[in-house]
Amino acid sequence: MKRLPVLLCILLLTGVLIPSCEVENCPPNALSYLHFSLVDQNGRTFQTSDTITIVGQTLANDSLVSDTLINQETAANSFTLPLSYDAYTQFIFVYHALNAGYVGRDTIRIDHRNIPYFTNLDCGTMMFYEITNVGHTHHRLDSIAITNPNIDNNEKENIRIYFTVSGVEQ
Amino acid sequence: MRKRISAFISLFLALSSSLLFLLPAPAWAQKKDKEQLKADYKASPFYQGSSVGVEIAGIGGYLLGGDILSSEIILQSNLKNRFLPTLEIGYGKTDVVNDANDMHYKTSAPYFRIGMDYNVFYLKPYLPGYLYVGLRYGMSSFSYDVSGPDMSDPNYGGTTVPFSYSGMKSKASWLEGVVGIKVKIYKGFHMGWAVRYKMRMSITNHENSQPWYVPGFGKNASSSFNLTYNLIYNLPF
Repeated sequence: MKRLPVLLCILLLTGVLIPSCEVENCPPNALSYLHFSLVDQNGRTFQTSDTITIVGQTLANDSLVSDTLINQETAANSFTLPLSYDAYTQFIFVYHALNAGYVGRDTIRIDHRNIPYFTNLDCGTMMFYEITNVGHTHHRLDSIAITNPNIDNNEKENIRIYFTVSGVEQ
Repeated sequence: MRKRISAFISLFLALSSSLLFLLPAPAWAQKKDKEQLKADYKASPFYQGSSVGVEIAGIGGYLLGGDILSSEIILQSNLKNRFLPTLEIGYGKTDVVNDANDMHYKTSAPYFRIGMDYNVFYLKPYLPGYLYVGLRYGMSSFSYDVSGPDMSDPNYGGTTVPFSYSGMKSKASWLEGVVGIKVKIYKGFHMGWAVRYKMRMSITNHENSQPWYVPGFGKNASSSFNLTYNLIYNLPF
């Protein structure tokens, strides 16, 4: 019985402090991106010796919209690129070798299903995606593999781009 | 400001019931011999009555401008003044628009909890109230609507996508740990408050959303706290 006031005080403090503990947890990144990894013919990540420019394209209201997403990046081993709200997005990879200048370009077309998503009344909406198909040219790149078709705001690899890399380039 | 008001209300409700415990000791506080108390406990009947109560803190919060209305009826039996099996049947609803981003969320549904309280002072029936701890299993099956402004493509521009989803069905279950007090006010009437820690066990999400508010649980998270304040009547049978 002597300890009752102490117990009551603890309960009181707990009850009073609880309302101030309410925290809204909005995700730190509210945008979702497609993650490309560049790998060699053996599936190992490598840094490309080319300088790469990437242009994103999509249809918006029946007009082709282009946007330069990556401008002359060197020694890259991955890219994080935004998809559009249309049914497909295509990326034009323009390669420049340090010595030889322009060496070619590849176009990668991503068909995707758009998934509008609500997490929280305070955080609003986000757009997630599911990759449904990938098409590409193979002037410089060899092949493409979808490693995870679901694109959300968790950073994870979605597509691997395979290049044939000689011993000198590695 | 709303949180501050609710904190003051919590403080008032808690104090109003707790102070009854701390008042100068009347005749009931006479110390009894421990062995006598144990003998009285053994001789006491197994079934010692039932009570019905209503939770009013949720109603109060809503009337003071809160976004969420939640209240419940509590049915409880007293076994040996020690174990108190409890059934709680409640109703939770919200229909709220966030002014900052125009997101709208609406749901209303009943919820159920079943569990048991344990009277910490079961050997001291002469006290005007008792401290208890308890466990609950809660569940709710509900549907919700969520809508918001059209989504505009932030990267390429041009395209907008509407955002409106209605009638999405979901189920949730959770466990609650309860610590509270119950004190006698007048004859068969009691009041009490309790702190509840809730742990979500399962919830059904949808491809386009997850529930924001779950009736009976509160805002959707892996865990939550809340304070309840009950008015209780001991049934005469």
